[in-house]
Amino acid sequence: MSELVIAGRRLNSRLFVGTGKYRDFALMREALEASGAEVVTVSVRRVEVGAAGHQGLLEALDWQRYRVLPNTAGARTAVEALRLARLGRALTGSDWVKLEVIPDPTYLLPDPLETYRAAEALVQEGFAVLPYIAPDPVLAHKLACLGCATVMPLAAPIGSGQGLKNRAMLEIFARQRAVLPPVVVDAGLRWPSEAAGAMELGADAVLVNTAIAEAQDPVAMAAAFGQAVRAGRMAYEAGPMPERASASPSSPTQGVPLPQPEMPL
Amino acid sequence: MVWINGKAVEAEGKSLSEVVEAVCGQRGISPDAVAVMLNDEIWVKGRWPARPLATGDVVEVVAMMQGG
Repeated sequence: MSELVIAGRRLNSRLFVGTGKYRDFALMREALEASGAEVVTVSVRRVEVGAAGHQGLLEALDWQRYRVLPNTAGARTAVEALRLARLGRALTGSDWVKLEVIPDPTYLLPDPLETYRAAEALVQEGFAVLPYIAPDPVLAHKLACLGCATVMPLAAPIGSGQGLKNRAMLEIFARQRAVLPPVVVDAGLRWPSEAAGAMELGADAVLVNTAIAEAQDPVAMAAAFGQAVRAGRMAYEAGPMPERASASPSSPTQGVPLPQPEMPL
Repeated sequence: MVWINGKAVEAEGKSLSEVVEAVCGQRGISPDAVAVMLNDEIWVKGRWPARPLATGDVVEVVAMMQGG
């Protein structure tokens, strides 16, 4: 299987995973390990007493094993995203940022204009920018021209489990791979087969959080996603057979041992 | 009043490190595991300014949290 390189860094896994929504850190650790993922997303939040999900992650994971990807979740504008990105860099020591600029609380759809503005500033500040976007190939190309490290089109709304809803648009991304940085399909998946499907289309990687964290057995589901992403990539690189309008028998059509009309039996 | 993580607190005259240690102590997080912003300027891992906080200062103490 070919290697994935993002911002000059060779990655061992094409599955990225989030750390949100796990019942506890022990389960999260086990699921992350089972997934085989290397890139792991985190958020940047105030240290507050009594707030859900606000246990510090620094000591919860072995960061020698994972590549931390701080996000800008919570930002509604470019200005807010810059603030969160800078705090994320100060916290993690990583120049990588998953850029999320989301003004819409219902569907959590990213704002393309504010995302573009924030990406432009962050690239100039030396960040490796991984922007979360709607599956718009034109926007993706403009972000590529800015120097973004990836583009991260959404398969379906975050946490919705609706699957590869945007398949047709993601096919256009696949056809435009030559002019795009690595394409990381992010958000909305439910089944490993959908992750495999995204990889078969030509995605370079897939990011999954809720589908693992909210599975009945997150550890098994994490392993399943890890295998699916590998299978999908291997299939993409292997290349599929041609599609035909009608059937094509797999067994020889000659020499079938059945009586012919002119035979005595 | 000084704004600490979005709340108005009587902390004038305290040092930033005192405030950060108090916030971290309440949550059981090491001060080495946080980033601190004072009036939109970021201060990293223990190298916080010594000047006492003054009325109207805005302090943010953040850490890596769970997220997707």
